Amino acid sequence: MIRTLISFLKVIHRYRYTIWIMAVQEIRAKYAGSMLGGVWNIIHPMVLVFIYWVVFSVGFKVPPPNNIPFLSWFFCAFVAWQSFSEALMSGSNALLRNRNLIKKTVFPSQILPLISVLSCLINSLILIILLVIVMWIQGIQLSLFAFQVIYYLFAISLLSLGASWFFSAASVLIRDMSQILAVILQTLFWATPIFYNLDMFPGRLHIFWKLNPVYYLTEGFRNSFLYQQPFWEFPRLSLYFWGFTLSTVLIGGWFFRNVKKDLADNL
Amino acid sequence: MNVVTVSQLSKCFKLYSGPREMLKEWVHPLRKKYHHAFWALRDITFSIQKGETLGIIGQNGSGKSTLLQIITKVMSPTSGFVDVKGRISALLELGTGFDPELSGRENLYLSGSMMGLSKKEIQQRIPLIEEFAAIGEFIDQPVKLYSSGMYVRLAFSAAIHVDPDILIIDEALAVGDIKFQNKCYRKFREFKDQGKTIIFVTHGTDLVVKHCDRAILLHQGELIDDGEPNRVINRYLELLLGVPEQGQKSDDSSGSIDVESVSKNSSQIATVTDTIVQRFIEKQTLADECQNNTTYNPNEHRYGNSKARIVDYLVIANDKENPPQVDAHASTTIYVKYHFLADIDVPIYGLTLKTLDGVEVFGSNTFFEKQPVKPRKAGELSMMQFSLPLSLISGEYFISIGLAESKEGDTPPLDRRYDMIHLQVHNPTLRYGVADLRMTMNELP
Repeated sequence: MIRTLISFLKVIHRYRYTIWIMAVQEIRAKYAGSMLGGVWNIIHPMVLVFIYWVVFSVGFKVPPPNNIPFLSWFFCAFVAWQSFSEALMSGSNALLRNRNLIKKTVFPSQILPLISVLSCLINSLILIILLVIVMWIQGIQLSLFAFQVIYYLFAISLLSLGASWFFSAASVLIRDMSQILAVILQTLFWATPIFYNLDMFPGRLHIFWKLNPVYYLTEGFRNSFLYQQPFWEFPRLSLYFWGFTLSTVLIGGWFFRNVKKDLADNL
Repeated sequence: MNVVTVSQLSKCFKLYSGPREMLKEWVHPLRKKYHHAFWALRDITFSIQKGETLGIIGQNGSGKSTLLQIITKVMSPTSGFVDVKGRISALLELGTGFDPELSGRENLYLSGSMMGLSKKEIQQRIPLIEEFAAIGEFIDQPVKLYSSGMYVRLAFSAAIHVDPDILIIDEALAVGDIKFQNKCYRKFREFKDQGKTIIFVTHGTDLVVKHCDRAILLHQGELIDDGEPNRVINRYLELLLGVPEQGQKSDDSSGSIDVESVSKNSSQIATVTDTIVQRFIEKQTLADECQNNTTYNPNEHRYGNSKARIVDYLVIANDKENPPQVDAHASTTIYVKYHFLADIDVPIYGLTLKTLDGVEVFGSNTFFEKQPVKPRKAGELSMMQFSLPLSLISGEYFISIGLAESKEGDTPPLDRRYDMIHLQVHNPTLRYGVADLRMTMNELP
């Protein structure tokens, strides 16, 4: 297992330049040809946020905790969710999207999901900047705890990489996988307290929400930007999350390695 | 030293009639099989020596591409193994590592880095690649704007400049213009001189003869011949044209030995071909038998007023009947049989030779040649013998046979069969063009 990990790191090192070019290109390709280009990176999440804000704050009047303005409170978790779901979706599609490379060239396909996950970080970065602007407008001060976001971005990337390995390889063998993933993500979105407050439910049920690893990420973002709580204040939840994430990476990597030789035949 | 060793290699694809069958097979408790196996390659064994140029030939679907994909480790074999020593640069499909949105230069960085070159190494090579590809300022334009020729030129240039030990080329060069192709072949020579190994896959049989030291022939996933290019090509053409295999399958070497021993005994050949011609002449053909010949082109273009019909023909070259390949420097004889359905006082018999793309190389008829011919009555058969040296450059050619009549200053066509005979001309020289005019050269003192 450790040998596999080392050989994977070696591949990353050897292909670092390829990874860099391809990640940059993937970001460029996403918006190439559209008139507003990168501006869509901002418009798209802003529209989503605006709709959710109107529906849940103005319409349903969901109360945020500690008198934090709803928009900042909701946006914070939304950034974490969006970063995770975009990385997972684009990582899971990485093999199908780059089928030419796998079928026609000698290319270590295991780095394709990594490239997608990395290129999604730029979107996360843009969202975080937007979040900071919204918070500044609503008069919320940033603290040093905000730097924890680096830790949480790493956690997001690792979790989505592990899951992407599984889903990208599985979707080559079973094309229905991308539909299944869409259903999973949709369910997960509503199952995560992003625009509703967990305190609306009785405390003894909270454990079900905490089993969802994305909860750790969305709450983590709020802890960093709003509640000013360090992650080590939640040792049991952190331990659970890292256990879950490492298992995902191991299982995803193991699965990918096993079906890798069949990928070219099935694309 | 063997740089590539392929040993008992087989590749099987599982074919399902649909995704549902696949699912059924996965979940079936008794492991019932819902797929049918397709063997793209069966028990292939061969090796390639350092510095050798190997040609791989075979019909479409014979397993050539699968074999290359396995040699380059793109695909894994079902059984057997492949051992490769050294860096492979493969042009399985030109420019597949290219991203259409990136500029040519950016793509060179991308494909170079995929081949394991550092940024510095790529920077050193870019001027060389630019010069070789000769696409000018297009190097800084997105690749999607390239013409297919430019695309190929850039991809080929990139592939040969990564310093490979083994270069694999799959049908790649057909797209570039003649000038670029010549440049590529010069580069081939250079590679060969440097002791590098080249694997060359193409349908252009003359290219294999010209450039390869050895050839292997794949047929339905099996390696059925391995050896001297000329012999392997003949075998390939026989397969392609459907000539029955004359005991070659049981013993690969017997075919070539036969030819040799026969050609030593010239009196024997004369009788062999004489009997063939005799049989042709004596046969009372009334129905159209042209399509039974292996050199017959089913896509011929035929027209005429049907007062007479061209019913059969026979090609004799290299003392063989309808040979798959005609030697450019030997005389070729074509016998044609005509059946008249009306009285024709002055028939005109003609023949035209064309290249594959329709350029007329040569043509004439009995009228132009002032050759006296007999008047024919309805129901009669007549026969013509056309003898000509096919002094041509290697390649494929079409022969059209025509019959007209001379009547009141007009020449209405009775039966014209354009491009009816399809011939493969083999010219052992490196001369180029269409006609081999057998130039002699002398340096004056």
